[in-house]
Amino acid sequence: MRSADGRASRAERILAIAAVPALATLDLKALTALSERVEASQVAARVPLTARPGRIRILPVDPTVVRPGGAATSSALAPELVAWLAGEETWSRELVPARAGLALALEVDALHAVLQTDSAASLAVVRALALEIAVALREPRVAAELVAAMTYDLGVVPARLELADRLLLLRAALPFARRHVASLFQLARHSTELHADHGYDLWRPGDPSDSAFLVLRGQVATTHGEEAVAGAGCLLGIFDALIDQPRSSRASVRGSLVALTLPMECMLDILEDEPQVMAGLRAAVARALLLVDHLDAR
Amino acid sequence: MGPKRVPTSTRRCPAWLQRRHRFVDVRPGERHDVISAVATLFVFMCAHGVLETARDALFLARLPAERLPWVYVAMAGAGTVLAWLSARRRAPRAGGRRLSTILGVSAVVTASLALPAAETGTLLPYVVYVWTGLVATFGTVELWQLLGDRFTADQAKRLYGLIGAGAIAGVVVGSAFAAVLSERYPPGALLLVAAAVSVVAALLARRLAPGAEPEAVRPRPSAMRVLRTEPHARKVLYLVLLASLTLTVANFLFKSYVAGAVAPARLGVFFGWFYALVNAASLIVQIAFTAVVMRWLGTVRSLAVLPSVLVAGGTIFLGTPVVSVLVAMKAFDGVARHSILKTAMELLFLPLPRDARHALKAVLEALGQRGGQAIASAGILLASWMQAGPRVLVMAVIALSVLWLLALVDVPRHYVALFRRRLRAAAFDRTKPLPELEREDVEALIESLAQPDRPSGVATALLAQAGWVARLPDKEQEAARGAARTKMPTLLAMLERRGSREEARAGLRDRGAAAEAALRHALVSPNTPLALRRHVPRTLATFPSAESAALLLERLGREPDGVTRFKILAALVALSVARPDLEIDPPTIATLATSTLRRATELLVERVALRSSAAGCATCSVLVDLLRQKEEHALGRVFMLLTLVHPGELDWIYEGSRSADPRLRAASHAVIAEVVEPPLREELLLLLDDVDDEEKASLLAGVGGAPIATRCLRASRRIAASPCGS
Repeated sequence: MRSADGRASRAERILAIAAVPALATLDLKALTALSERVEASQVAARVPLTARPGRIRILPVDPTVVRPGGAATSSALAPELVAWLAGEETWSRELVPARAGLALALEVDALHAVLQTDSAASLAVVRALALEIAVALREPRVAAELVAAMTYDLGVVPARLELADRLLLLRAALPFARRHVASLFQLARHSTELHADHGYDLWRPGDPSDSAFLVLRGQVATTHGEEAVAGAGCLLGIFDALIDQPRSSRASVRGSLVALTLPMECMLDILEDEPQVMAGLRAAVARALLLVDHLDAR
Repeated sequence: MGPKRVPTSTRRCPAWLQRRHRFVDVRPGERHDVISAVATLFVFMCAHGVLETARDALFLARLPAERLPWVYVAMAGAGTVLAWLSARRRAPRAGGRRLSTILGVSAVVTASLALPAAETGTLLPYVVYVWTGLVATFGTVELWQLLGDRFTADQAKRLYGLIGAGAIAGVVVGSAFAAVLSERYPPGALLLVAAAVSVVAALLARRLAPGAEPEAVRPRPSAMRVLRTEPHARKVLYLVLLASLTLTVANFLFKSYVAGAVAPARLGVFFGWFYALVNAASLIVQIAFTAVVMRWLGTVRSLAVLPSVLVAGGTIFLGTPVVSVLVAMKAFDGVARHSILKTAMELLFLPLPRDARHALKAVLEALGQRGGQAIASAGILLASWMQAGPRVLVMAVIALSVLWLLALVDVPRHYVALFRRRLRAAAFDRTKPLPELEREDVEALIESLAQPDRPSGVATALLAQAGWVARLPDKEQEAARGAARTKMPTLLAMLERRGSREEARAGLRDRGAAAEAALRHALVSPNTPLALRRHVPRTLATFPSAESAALLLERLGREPDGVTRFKILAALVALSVARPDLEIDPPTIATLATSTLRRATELLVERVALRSSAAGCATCSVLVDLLRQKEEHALGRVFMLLTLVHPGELDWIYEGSRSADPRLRAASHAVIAEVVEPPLREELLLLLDDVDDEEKASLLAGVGGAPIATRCLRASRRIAASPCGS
């Protein structure tokens, strides 16, 4: 519904922003703040949109570009958004709406203000991105590639782990928090060492997603339909834990396993108190989503 | 409620501060802009120095000083017309090309005035006088506008001193050169020299780059609209007007004295050397003192220096009417006007958005500067007609200076408000209420609900919030109802778990005073588990009583757990927002802020020492990162403590100071500079400065004196002696 002068109403702008999955879980106050900093225009199908440095273009919703979960992907609706969240600034790519409708150009500064100064909004975006990844992980090939991308070199893992060793291992495995040693120290103190034998299930479908696991030695096979095998240096179960939904897959130990269990409660406490760690995690999750989209496109 | 001021020590300018504000502080990436600006201003003002000497010699040799007011009126008229024409043109981001054109045209016109200068007519002195004023006004306005676009407030504070020194050095050289030339040549020759030097300035101006600040998408506002809507712009207009009025009368007094005391043939030599000496003194002030005065007194207080001296000088003259006092007043005017006053006035413009600045500056120059001259001239003419002596004019200078000082009183409020506005625009304010839904909003939402491919949650929530559909079940109320049946110890234990925390808080709020007492006990008791104690402060802040505030403050100094201390501080901030009338013991907060800032400084110094002593050591790099994060935490806590002392004044400052946008960082620093009192201010600004850590640490080591330096040395020796030390 247009207003008398033909401009999009505030509600229309809010709905168009909320149609992007990465922004869909923001609350009304955050959405309203963003809606005040967008330019809205009716666009025709297959007519390229002009690139605007400093503004994220959001295309009209295209019901044909959806993931198995049903929602249109963030990358399909606002590719510059996911790239910007991942720390890239590419305003030159060509964007062609598949269908006519309301397109938006959202001020990056406004989104930055919301994410930088409101931890609840920031966590909502992280969770929304994680949800998109969790949906994509049902695809076995995507799961295998993502496991590989999220595996870091831990160096030599000592046989007996002191607190300092755990800190250094976390520093290697969580690059987004590398410089936040006090936070990693807090997480290391709350982490527990897990030793498990072949066949032990780290989680089964329906289990609560209250922890993530850092594999130190051994392997873990995660199964949605097909298996993806994670080895030493891989951080497992983080996306389920972030979206706070029961596990939808199964994770079984292969051989004998040594892992660090990282309680999600402690991770969320850190994220709430440390905006920079939150920003780092957001960028890391957005980069993972870019990878997932890249694999999808292939 | 007004801000609660932190009690401070006696204001003084310590040695480390002077060292910190060294004159040349040009950082990587700024060199080209600074060299271009200094060179252009130097040559342009050199031309102006020659032109000014020619102008005064020509005028006072042929006409009596009493005719000067008519020239001021003519300058005001011509200036207003030019300002109006200039304001109509949208300023393109063309760098120095526009300035180059102005200087080139001025060179041609000045040269053409040299030809009739040999004749003895009385019209030419008027024309030369007006022309000199116009060239100086529009050349400098254009150049400073360009620099205002190019540099942030932080950069301006560092660089304007140096750039201004280029201008003053130019006038010194130009005036001295003119004095030497005046010994042999008539004023007409000086005009030709001024024109030639202007050509060089025009060529140099082409090297100036355009501003970095993006142009607004909206149409440029008119100057009148800016004046109507921006209280700060109006204040600047009053200040420019009052300064112009005061200085015009003082200038007239001085020139009247000179015209009576110096032979017409020697006027060129006199003015040449007088301006050269005064400007040389001004250059020394600019180099040695302007930056220190700016940072020590702040931008606004620096503007009070000149009128204060004029009031003092005028009062002395009234007591003992010695003519040399008038010369001294003019000399001080000449010294301070182009150094402290000019720099402070330029800084006063910086909080305004670029477009507003451009729209305003030429009009302020015409209305304020030239209008002030015109009004002062009318006053002088009236005084002459009434045969009032110099005492009356001196009394006028005193009265105008007092008005000038009074006009400064609430400038800081408006000046800081503009910076704050910039910071708030870059932040998300969750406390802002949601706007009402319009009719077309509701229609769009209902239409959206009917479409299966649209997310319905947001539409429903918006309609519910506006009361168009039944409100969704209030989670908080439901939680409170559930928690009402739970016992107090269980409710407290529920605070430990994230999932049940909000429910527990709702239940505790429902229990009132009993819950508040239980929470206070839990915070103090050594038997309270850490996992619970950490969540007590925030819960206690939901009972915004003076007792809770006092207890939280008391625990802030005693709590051994760092995370709990942080949460106590956050609770105090939440409490002060909920109860702005609650005074949270300013002296204690000030002491805590000072010690926490000192801790941040120590952490920085130790970090730098560790990094330099143990380069290449992997374990040490972890420690370096740990020290960095602890330093950031300490700095964050300083801001939280300052928020308690200055409620509502320091919102978003911390976020702004950490922003990637240099203009936001500069806005934060400007607010801190005006709101936070010394000695905390200088140390805080230094910690936030963009200068590299090594330099920052070396400067800050002087703040703590021996203790920090000794600790740092010990740390370095320890690291060097350890097995991993390099």
